[in-house]
Amino acid sequence: MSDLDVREQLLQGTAPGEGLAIELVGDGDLVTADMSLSIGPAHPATHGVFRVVFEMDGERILRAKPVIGYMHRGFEKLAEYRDYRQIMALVNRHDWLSGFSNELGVALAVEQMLEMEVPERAQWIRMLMAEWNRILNHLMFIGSFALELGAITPMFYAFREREDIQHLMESATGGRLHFTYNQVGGVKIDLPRGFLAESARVSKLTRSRMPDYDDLVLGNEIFRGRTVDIGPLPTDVALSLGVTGPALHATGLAEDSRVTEPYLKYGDIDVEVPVGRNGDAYDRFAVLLGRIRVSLDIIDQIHDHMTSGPVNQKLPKMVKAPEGATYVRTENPLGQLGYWLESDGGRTPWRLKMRTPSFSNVQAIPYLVQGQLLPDAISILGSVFFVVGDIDR
Amino acid sequence: MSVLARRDRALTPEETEALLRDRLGDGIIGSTLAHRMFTVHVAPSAWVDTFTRCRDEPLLDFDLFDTLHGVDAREDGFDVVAILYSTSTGNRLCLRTRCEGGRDTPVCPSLNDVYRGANWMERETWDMFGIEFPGHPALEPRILTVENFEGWPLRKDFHLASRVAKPWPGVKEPAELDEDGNVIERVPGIGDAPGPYVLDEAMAAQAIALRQVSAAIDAAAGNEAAVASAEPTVSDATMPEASAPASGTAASTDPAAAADAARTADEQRRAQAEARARKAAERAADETPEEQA
Amino acid sequence: MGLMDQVELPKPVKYVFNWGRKYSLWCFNFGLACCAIEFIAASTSRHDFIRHGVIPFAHGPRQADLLVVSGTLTDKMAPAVKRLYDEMPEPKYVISFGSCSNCGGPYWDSYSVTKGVDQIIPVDVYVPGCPPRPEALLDGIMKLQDRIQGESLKDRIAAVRRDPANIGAEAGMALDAQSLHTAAPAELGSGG
Repeated sequence: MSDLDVREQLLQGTAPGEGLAIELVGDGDLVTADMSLSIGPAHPATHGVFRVVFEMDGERILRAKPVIGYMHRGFEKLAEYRDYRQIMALVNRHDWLSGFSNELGVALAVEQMLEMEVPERAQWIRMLMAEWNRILNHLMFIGSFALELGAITPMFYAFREREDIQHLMESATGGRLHFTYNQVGGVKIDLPRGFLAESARVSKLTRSRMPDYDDLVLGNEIFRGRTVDIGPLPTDVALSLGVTGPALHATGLAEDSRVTEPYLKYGDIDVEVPVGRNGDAYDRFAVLLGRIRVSLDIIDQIHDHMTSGPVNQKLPKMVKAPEGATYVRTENPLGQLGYWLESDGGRTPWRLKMRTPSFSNVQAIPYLVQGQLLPDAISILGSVFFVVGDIDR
Repeated sequence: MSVLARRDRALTPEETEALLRDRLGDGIIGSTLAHRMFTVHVAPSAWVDTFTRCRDEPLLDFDLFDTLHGVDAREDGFDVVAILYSTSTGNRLCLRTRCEGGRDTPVCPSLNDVYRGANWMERETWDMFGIEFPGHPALEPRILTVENFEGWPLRKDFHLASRVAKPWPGVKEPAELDEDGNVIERVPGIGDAPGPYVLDEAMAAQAIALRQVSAAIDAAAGNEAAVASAEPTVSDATMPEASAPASGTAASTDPAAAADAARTADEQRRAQAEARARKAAERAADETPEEQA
Repeated sequence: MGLMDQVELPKPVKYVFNWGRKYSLWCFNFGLACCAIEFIAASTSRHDFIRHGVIPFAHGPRQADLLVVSGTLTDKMAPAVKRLYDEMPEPKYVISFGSCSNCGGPYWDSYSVTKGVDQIIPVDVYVPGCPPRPEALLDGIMKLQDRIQGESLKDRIAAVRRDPANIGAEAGMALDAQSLHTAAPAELGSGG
């Protein structure tokens, strides 16, 4: 058997398109066919179990259809079976990169229904933790977005900072990812001695390392080539879809509930909202980096404002929200997190709806990738910044 | 467009309702202002028109589609709630309607043509509550649950199977305590699932068997007198009931059971000896090829 | 494979062989939820499990020895995990990382969560925690390495064959073993 024979034998049954249901269209010289390409649910280009089905014309994407639900855990149903203390330990898990901000929303919603005044120190502590949590979240996305574009080093840099911050938060809360530090009426326990000094030190350290990311990622020519003018999003489309957070700020609209509807003590301090130019992938990433700097500024201001006093309120044995419904939104790291809490006066909520930022932001993906090339779709998917648990709940 | 550019011209809740009433007439049923949230109740027939007005009316200018979800309204069926926000005035508006069709065939008009964001929100609401949205391009396949999932999870008559099969083991949950910390005995209702305690019975039976084995081992070790003197108290058949946890100190001593248990212990010991022998043989087998090599 | 499941290897060979296997675990991270973040933390510079010989760069299950299931497994995702596991070559190991993949964790009563990954694939080491610390993963990996060191490949493959889930695959493997049987003495000689 000659080499040529072997080769023909090997190639049998592996002709292009074999096994794929391809429908040939057109009758000209150049015959093309649309092809559907499924990415995920476990694929390195999509962090987490997220699946997209692309309809492709060559390298160009005609349509995209996200398929979600692979991480659907039924939070909203489970919350109806748990009382308001237990819910705290449940809700911080849906967006696992911003556990503190998640539980903060529920605490605020219950307090709003009870018309409860939270001690001033507790509010400052909540803000401090929420901002540290925001930085933790954004660092993760800096690492993972660069990883999706083929650079592994930023991930190691990002985790160097993350470990420092996690160590800091762990000293106060006891948790690395899921803090369960909030409770209705304040926080669980006061800060440990020396926490603020350590917080100031980590803040200074993180700030001194921020230029690394500018040089390493933003200034990188390959990074710019793959993100500038890729996947622009107009403001009105973003709003109609309910897109919020960094993806909305990148379009040039500074809608941030820390500024427009201040909760906790955000009204007492300066919060700058970094915005982008045309909402492309580069802008979304630059906004993310800008938000870290803003959070560091806020942390420094909180250190100056921190007061002494109690950190929580004495609660009855059973926390019961009065009958009625309320809606609280907070600025989560990834966008607006809204909790619709409806109570029938019982021990458990009648309905707890989580309006999660990732769910609305991911809805924009079909719009963003339409007509783009496949390699660009990877940078678009990465730059929308979603957490799969936050989409599916 | 900039954020909160028209905050000074933002309408108060009363003005908002008056404006909507003027434009939509009977479509607006009423409004409530509670817990810092302004809710307008809308008739299903005026549902889509209301949103179109809210979006297009310059005074209202609700441009951010925040959320849409269902709420179980007990016997009356289901409510659909949507929340809008205006980035220019900073107002938030909650719109609520009662679905037509009761609990059996709830139907609500689709907002897909007014706000793009309604697409997935309505798919989710259909997935969770079974509310149909005529005018929606494709509610199927189910967006969150498995495609062949049966039932509508967020309806109150959907019970969690795990809670039915397996009540929380050990300590009762805080939700089941009253203000003084006492356990409340509840009559099962919608959403409650105390269950048949099958697992508890199985666990009790297991615990008894274990205790018998240990008693038998004691007996084999020379404490036969202690076991023999104890009186037979409860038969195996009645064990798994309420008496099981209470009989913790008095080791169960049905003579037949004790004999059984003793046999079990003997068997265990024999098995151990066998295992030891087998291991020794293995060790020997391991070494032989080595020597050959 | 043909030889390994027929003959018990001589002790020194087995020792060296297992020593080599335990310090080159190509690991496929099936990152599902929160625990995946702690898995990444364990692989980066502070905890760094590469120093234990765990290599987290397997590009797919076909190149992997170790599957780490980290996070909540839902009913919708379960077929994919089963499929990935089936694609892995023997001998393969599974670490169930975190309470969710051990038993369902905080979602023990959920309608859409599989209560434990061991319902669909066999698990070697369970790491408890919600999420477990990276140190816990390191501990789990070392437990697995101890296990690999003391293990007999022959017994392991025999155990896999006995698994009712693999009955279908057995016919093909037996044939494979038979065809290689003639070559066995020669290989044994060189190996010993």
